[in-house]
This record gives sequence, structure tokens and C-alpha cells, in this order.
Amino acid sequence: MKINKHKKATKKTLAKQSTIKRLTFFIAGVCLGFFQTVFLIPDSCAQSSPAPQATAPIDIQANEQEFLDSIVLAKGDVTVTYKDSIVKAPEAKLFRDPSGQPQKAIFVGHPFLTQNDNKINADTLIFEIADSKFIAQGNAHSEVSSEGDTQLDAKASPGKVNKIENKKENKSDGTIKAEGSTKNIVASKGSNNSKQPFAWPQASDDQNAFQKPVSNVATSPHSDNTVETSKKASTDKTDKAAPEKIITDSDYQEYSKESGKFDASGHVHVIHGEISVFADKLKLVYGTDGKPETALFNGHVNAFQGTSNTQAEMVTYYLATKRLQATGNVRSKMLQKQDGTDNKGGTNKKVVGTKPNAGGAIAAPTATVPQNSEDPIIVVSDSQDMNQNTGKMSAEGNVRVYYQDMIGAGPKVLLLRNTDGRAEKVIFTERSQVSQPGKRWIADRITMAIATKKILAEGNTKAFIIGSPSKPPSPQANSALAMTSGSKSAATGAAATDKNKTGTVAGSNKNEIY
Amino acid sequence: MLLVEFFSRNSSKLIGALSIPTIIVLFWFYAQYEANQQVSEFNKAQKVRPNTDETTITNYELKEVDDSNQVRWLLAAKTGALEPVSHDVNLTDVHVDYMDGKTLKMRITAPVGQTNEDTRLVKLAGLGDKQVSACGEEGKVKLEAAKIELDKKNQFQAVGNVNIVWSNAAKVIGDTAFGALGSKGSNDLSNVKLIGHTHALIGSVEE
Repeated sequence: MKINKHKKATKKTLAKQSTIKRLTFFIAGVCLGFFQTVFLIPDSCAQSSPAPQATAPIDIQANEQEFLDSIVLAKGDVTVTYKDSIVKAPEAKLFRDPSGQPQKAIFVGHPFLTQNDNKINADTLIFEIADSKFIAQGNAHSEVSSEGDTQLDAKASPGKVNKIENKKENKSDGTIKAEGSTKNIVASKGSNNSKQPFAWPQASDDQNAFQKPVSNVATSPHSDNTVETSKKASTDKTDKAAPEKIITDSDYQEYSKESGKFDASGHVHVIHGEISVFADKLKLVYGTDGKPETALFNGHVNAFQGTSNTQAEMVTYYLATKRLQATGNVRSKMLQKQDGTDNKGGTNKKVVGTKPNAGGAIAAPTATVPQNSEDPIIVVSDSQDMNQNTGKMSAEGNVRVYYQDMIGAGPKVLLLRNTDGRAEKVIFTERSQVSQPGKRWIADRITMAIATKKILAEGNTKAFIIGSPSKPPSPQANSALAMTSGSKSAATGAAATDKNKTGTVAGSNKNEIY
Repeated sequence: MLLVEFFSRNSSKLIGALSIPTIIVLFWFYAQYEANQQVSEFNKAQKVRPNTDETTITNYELKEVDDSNQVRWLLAAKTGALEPVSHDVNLTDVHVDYMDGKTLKMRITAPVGQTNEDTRLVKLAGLGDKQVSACGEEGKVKLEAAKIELDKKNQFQAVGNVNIVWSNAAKVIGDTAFGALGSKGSNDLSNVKLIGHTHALIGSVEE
């Protein structure tokens, strides 16, 4: 019996061992199968998939051509034609696959590419034939039609194009989304506004910024001194009718019409109509109709549009609607050109003083305040959205607005411009504050009229009168309706700030200051 | 008397001494003159009746072998007129076959041509509308030109309206072309260089 039991136990053990062995082999087999499937099959598939081929022959005309095994060398007045692309160069090297089909062409000696209305030239041009992709290296210059392919245009009716543009304009009225980090502005060197809560950008920083367009990249791209306005483009209506080209100068460019790709990097300078942009990188986004719709600029972006200048980390520019979205440490500067009568006075000093004396305010003595012929409005924020057509500019995220001696701060600002491009109003739409020398207003909504310097504070308003040490201010206990603005000197403030350094006016829902 | 004797003795000696080289020089000039006369007469005769001694061979053949005694190329012509002096052979209805072992790599056809049995240089030329044409293995390559010169190391030079077609790969024209024909282990036409008004279509080319 014992022997039988022992035999049975041995049999069971052997059966278990064999089962384990079978399982081990099975798992090993499954694993091998899996690895073969995952690693080997894709490789074999990749090897078997044929490389993309050129779909049309390449036409090469030159003084000399040398046919080596897989390379064709062309020298002397080389003209290469592939579909609608024509490249002219002193020297070209064409690479072929073993079956003799062209794969890639390299042009040296500053070649010129023409593709319908588009043009590219550079020190070296690489043409990846199967993808119809051009890579321009070294002093690359391109002129890409913002109207896309003319052949496509010919097919489309003019009305259709207008409809598309109208749709885009309607879309452009949307508000921007706040992006980018919030950073405090560091006081610039030599700033005389040490008393201000934040640094005042010096007018001289961008004083030379607004000059004629510079099409050559050789000028320092990120410098404020090299700027343009393209005033001709803005004034000449006939130019507007013609298709505007996107002129790009950079170190490196990549262009593929078929896949709708245009990238540029390294000292990028783009001119489109009256906008001129310097940046580290550019990417054009094409629409389904083959037309470039949007230009994405990255890194040290410096855009000049008319009399406006915007600096940011990233800028998105909508070509059709001329809408510009900037994010990341955005700093915009808009020149406020004064009327001709202002400049003809022989002096830049403007007489300011008594204005309507509402609410029994005491008139301030007449004073003269220096007035530049081109006073800039500077807007600093995390993100900004500008539309050249509508004249609206909205800024979000830690917004600071500087104009003459006025400083505004708030989370959200809307700037409205007239048809001449001059700013008319700056509206702080959330809890914000506006400061002038000796005065400060805080409200849920503050409207700054640029021309008249009128300030309208609405919703839970507070007004602070801050006196200078020599003239300590007194509390402004009466109605908050009576104050004069900025450079026109505080009508009530000057008289009432003799005793106390600060004074507040609170409890009003609406303050209107003249 | 003494003076007469002196002169008679010495002068005769001097005259005798001078006459010998003079006669030699005169003979040399005469021989040279006669030789020139005969050469010019022969040349005149040759011009009047050229290739008098030329031998015409029907179904003329010439071949070039490499170091391993393999036929590199084989020239065949309907007629070959051999000039005995220069060893030039004037050919008609010429075919030059370039071989890779026993495989025919390329065949060149020309209405007329000339080769030299010493230098093995072959000059082929078109006649009238017919051009010199070269056709590669299975028609992969075609070359046409007004004149083609071939050396014994498979190098060629094509001159005048050169037209080369690589089937389904490229088509190129030019004034002059250089390269190698039917080289071992390479294409039928290799290292081709075209000069002057070159125009190529590369890719899927219809012949």
C-alpha cells in the first residue's frame, strides 16, 4: 500500500513538472511570437515600403552635365524645372536612387527658385523632390504669395475669395486667451520714476524704432533701432488691391507647397503689407485652399505695424484679417501723433490748467507740461490681441498701460483706436487702477480718454490723492467728482494736499475726472 | 723660280686638300636634292592615283582583347580598305560590339568609319541622315551622335547632336559627350559627361 502511495505521489509530481515545463514552453513561444510581431514585422514592412518617388521628370539645362552612378552634376547656368518649380543656379547636384529616379537636388552658389508667384533664394538650396520640399540655407530670402497658388485663384471666383475673407474677419473679433507667465517688470536703467510702483519704459528705448522698412536682414533684427512702418503700403490703396507677399529673410527656411509648410528660423525678418516682424522662428500655417492663413512667430518677436510696435515671446498673425495675437511678456508701443496744430506752436509745451470745474473743485494754477510730438502709449501684459482692421487691442494678464504721466494697471484692458490709428480710449474692464502724479483711482471699470486725458471710473471706485513731501496732501473728503487729470495738474488735489500725504475718496460708484 | 716652285707645290696641295670636302658636300647636296625630287614626284603620283596599293577586305574584322585574353570589343565591317603605310582602315557598315565576357553589353552601328590597326582607335561617323548609334544591353541605353571616337580602353567621345537615353531613367542631349562604354561591372554607359547646350530629363522618361 505504501509503495502504491509512493508511486502515486511520484506520478503526481512528474505530472506537475511536465505541466510546468509545457507552460514554460508555451509562455516562451508566446513571448517569441510577440517579439517577432512587435520588432521584426514592422522592420520588414518598413524595408519593403517603397521610398516616395518623383511624379514627374526633372528637366535640367546647363553648360555641362556629368552622369555618375547615382549622381548627376550640372555646372554653368543650370536651370532645373520640376512641375511648376524652376531653380536657377551656377551648380547643381542631383541624387538618384538605384532605378535612376531623382530623389534630391542640392543647388549651390546662391540659387534662385521660382514657383508660380513664390520665390526663394539662398546660399544653398536643397530640393527634396518626392516631397516637393525646398530647404534654403544661408541668407535665405523668400517671397511667398499670401494669395496662395495663382492657379488655384484662377479657378476660384473672386466673390468666393471675398466671402472667405469676410468670414475670417468675423471670427477675428473673438477675445484672446491669457497665456504666458506673469512677471513683474524690472525697472529699466536710468529710470526717473523710482516712485512708481512699476518701471516706466523709457521713450528713448524705442525712439528710433519707427523708421522706413528694412528688407535686408543684415541689420540687427532684434534691435529697436531697425524698424519699419511701411507707410507707403498703408497709404497706397492700389498696393492693397494687389496680392501681398510674405517676404521672409532668415538663416534657414523650409518650404513645401504640396504639404502646405513654410518654416523659417534664425534671424527671421518678415514683411507682409505694412507689418514687419523680427523673430527667431516663423511658421506659416496653410489653409485647405492652399493659402497661408496664419504666421506663427516664436522667440524674441518684435513686430512693427504702422506706428505700433509689439515685442513678445510668441506672436500669431492672421494674414487675411491682420489680427495679431501676442503672448509672453508682451510689450506694445503705439505712437500717438499729435495734430499738426500742436506742433506748429513753435514749442512742445502745452498749456494746461483749468478745465471744467465740476463739484466745486478749486481751480489749479495754470501750468505747462512738456508734450512730445509723438507720445507713445505703452502696454505691457501677458498677452495681447490687436486687429488692424477694427482698431481694437485687448490685453490680458498683469496689464500695465503708460501714457505720458498716466499709468494704468489691471487684469484686462481694451484699447480702441480711430481710423487714423490713434488711440482714443483705454478701458480697464476689471478691478484696475490708474495713477497720475499725486493721484490714483481704483475701480471696477476705468476708461481713459487719450486725447482729452479724461478718466471715467465706474463701480466701487476709490480715489487717492498722494501729496509730495513738500506739499503734503490732505484727505479729499468731498465728492470724488472733482479732480483734474494728470499733467493738467490736480485742480482739487494741488490745493487740498497741503497737510496730509495721502487722502482717499471712497464710496462712489462713478467718478468722472476732468 | 723659287716662288713659282713654291706656289706650284703648295697650291696643288691646297687645292687637293680643299677639293675633297667640297666634292663630298656637293655630293651630299645632290643626293638630298634628288631624294626630295623623288619624294615630291611620289607624292604627286599618290595624289593623282591614291591608294594604289590599298587592300580592300570584305567582312573586315578587328578585335581588342584584355590581359586575360577575353574579347573587349569586336569590330566588324562590310568592307575595310587597308592603307599599307599608315595601317588605317576605312570602313563601311560598321558594327562594334562591346563584350563583358561572352555577354554583349553594347553594339555601336555606323554607316562609315575608320580604324587603325596599330593604335586601335576607332572613328565612326554618320552619313546623310544616318547617325552613329549605340544600343545597350536589352535596349536600356541608346546613344546617337554625328561622330563617335572610341579608344581601346572603352572610352568614347561623341561629337555633334549627342542624344543619350537611359530607358525610364533619363534622356539628355548636348554638343559633346565623354564617357566609358560597356565597362565591366558597370552600366552600359558610365561616367558620362556632356558639354555644351546640355538638356536632360531625369525621371520616368518616355522614349
